[in-house]
Formats: sequence, C-alpha cells, structure tokens
Amino acid sequence: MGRQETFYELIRRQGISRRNFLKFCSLSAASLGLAPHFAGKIAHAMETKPRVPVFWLHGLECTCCTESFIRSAHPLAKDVILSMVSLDYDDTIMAAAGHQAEKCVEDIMREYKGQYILAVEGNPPLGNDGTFCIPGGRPFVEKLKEVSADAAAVIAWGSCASWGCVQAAKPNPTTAVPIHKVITDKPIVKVPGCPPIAEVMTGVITYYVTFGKLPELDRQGRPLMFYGQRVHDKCYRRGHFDAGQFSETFDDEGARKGYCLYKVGCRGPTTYNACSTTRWNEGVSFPIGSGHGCLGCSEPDFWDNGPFYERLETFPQFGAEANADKVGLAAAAIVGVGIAAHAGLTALRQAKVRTNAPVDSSERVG
Amino acid sequence: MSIATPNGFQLDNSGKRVVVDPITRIEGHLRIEVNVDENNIIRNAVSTGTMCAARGHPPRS
Repeated sequence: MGRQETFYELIRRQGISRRNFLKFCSLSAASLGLAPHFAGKIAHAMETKPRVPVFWLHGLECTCCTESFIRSAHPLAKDVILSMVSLDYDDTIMAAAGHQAEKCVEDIMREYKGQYILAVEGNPPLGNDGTFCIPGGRPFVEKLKEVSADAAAVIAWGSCASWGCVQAAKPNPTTAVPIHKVITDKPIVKVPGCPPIAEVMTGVITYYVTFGKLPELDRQGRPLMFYGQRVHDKCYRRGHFDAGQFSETFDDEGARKGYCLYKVGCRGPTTYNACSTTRWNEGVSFPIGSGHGCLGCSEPDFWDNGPFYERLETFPQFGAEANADKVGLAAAAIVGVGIAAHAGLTALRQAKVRTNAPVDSSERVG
Repeated sequence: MSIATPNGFQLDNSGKRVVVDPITRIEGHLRIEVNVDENNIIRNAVSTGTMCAARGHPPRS
C-alpha cells in the first residue's frame, strides 16, 4: 500500500485549485465552531498529514448513520471519504465483496497497526453466543474485538453503538449492548443520534485529522462542541415555552401558531444535541421546525424513556426543570422525614439526660 | 453432509460451493451461497440474513 498521500496532494492531483482548498479549510473551521485563524491550522494539517485509514464496521443497525453521513454538506462526504481519510473498509459502500472484502480487513490491520480509526455503526448482540449478527461468517462481536485491538481510537456512530438504541430496547431479545461494553481499553468518542447529524459526523473526523487527537468530550464521552447544549436551549420555540404557550395536540390552534411542543412529548429539555443550531439537510430544518417534538434520539435509553407523545414529567427518568414540582415534593418529603427523625432522637436524648429544664424538642428543629 | 436452515433450506458441499459473505453495498448483512454442478448450473441457492425487532412498545412509538 505504501505511503499515504496527504489530502492536499490528492486534491491538487484531482485538479482542485489552492484557492478552493483554502475555502474548504475555512468552511471546515466554521463547521467545527472554531475561530477563523484555525482555517490556517486545518490547511497545514491537510498539506502535511497523511490520510488517516478508517475502518467502518456495521453491526446490528439500520444504516441510517451512513445515510446521514453521505449527505454532509460542510465538508462534503465525498471530500471526507475520498480525500481526508482513507476509508479502507465499509461494507455498505465498498466495491469488494465476500472474501475479497474480508481480506481488506487483514491487510489494513497489518499495514496500519495502531494507526487506524475504527468507526462502528450498530452494535454487537451478545445473546446466543453472538449469532444474531453474523457478517462474514462469524459473530460480529468477535470481529469488533479483533479490529478494535489495534485501533488508535474508536468512534461510536449513532445511538446503537453509543447506547444500544432500538435493538437494546426492552426486552432486548438479542442482548444487544453498546460497544463500550465490549471495547474497554480504547478511547471511544460517542456520536449519538438516530442518526447523528451529518455535519457532526464529518466534523468529528475533520477535528481528528486536523489536530491528531479526539475532541474534548463530556462526562458521557460525547464531543462537547456538538453535544454541549440541549436542543431546548437554542430552540426557536423556546420563547413560547417561557411564555407558557403550548400545543396541546398536534392539530389545535397552538400547533398552527407554532407554539412549544413540550406537552405533546418534546424531549428538547433533556436532550443534548446540535439539532436546533446545526439543523439537518444543509441547515434546512429539524424535527421541531417541522412541527414534531424532539424524540431524544441522542440520549441514553432512547426507546425506553416512555411513550414518545407523552409529557416529560411522566417519564421514569430524572428530567430537567420539567418535573421540578415532583422533585421539589420528593425533596420536601425527605426533609420532613429528617426533621421527624431528628426530633425523635432529640427527645430520646433528653429523656436519657433528664435535665431539670428539658428543652422542647420542636424548638431544636430548624 | 447436509444442514437444514430454520426456514427449511439445505446447505451442503455438493458440486462447487460458492459463498459470498458479506454482500456489500447493501443495507444490513447478507450471505449468499450456491452449489454449482459440473455443467455450471446452480442447483441450490441459500440466502442468509439476521434481523431483530422491538416488542412490547406502544405502536405510535
């Protein structure tokens, strides 16, 4: 396979001008939310760094992550997979099939040991010895372990790889698990969503290619630059939420006026994603913009976090301000129990001491 | 030796056995195997794929 070309060498060979190359770098910097001077840094990286070999494995999945990815506009998916990285294995779009495809796996693992990125779409089912997902004649979980052993880093595409998603929903008949249950010794970037936003996916790759390291992650392993805010925080219907103007059903006056969809099940207040800022289809819209509440697809336990069209406060999980009343009541109840216990203990202690002037236990509370 | 699949198809080594797994450029995982006889005629062909579904969830979800 020899030395990998740099991105710059490759696009010059394809006849793309330096001016257009720099334009691409500025756009990439903008899509990553970086300051303009980072365009120069991106340009330098593209000119000097070899393309990163990438493995893209598919487990139990619906391929919606790939469908989203190939529609990325900034940067274009074709620039990412043909120029920025060397996508050496991806069974959805590769030309080879059968044993020729499987031979690629061995070749890349040998040639680029410890250098390649493993991108996983879908997840491994562990039930029945992993036989619920058998690409290439053996359980997916085995292939995943084998390829991850020599990877530099792992990207978990979508909610399947990150949290489990639909196949791991109760009762989880195949015992599908997120990939971090199987890969425990590598850094994993979770890019959840069902699917994740295209520009978020390509943005994560651009960041890695440019800076040679993974982006800053939150406590749950998601890149902060895209998952640092709730959908609710930048939602254009937020004003209606704050004003108490809600759609009660999908066809009432409120819905026609574009009121907040919280009461018809919107998960925006508990969902961390870039939908309300980056939006979808080159920034055209996002679910709330189309009149449907957020389903919370990028959050853990997506599918099990209650029926989609019921209000947040009835969910089993802890919500944000949505169930503040309930949380407040529960907290008050706990405090009440504490007060009663304290009063009881105080009374007991005083009874033991038998002081001449016992203090009323109720006065001690406070 | 012959193996019966859950759907009642037979997998065996008769003739020339050709297995393509994975079939690429499709959604999901697919395996096709065929048995070709001495006249290059396919005598047996079996496709295999796996899929799972969610149960016990509200239909609107």
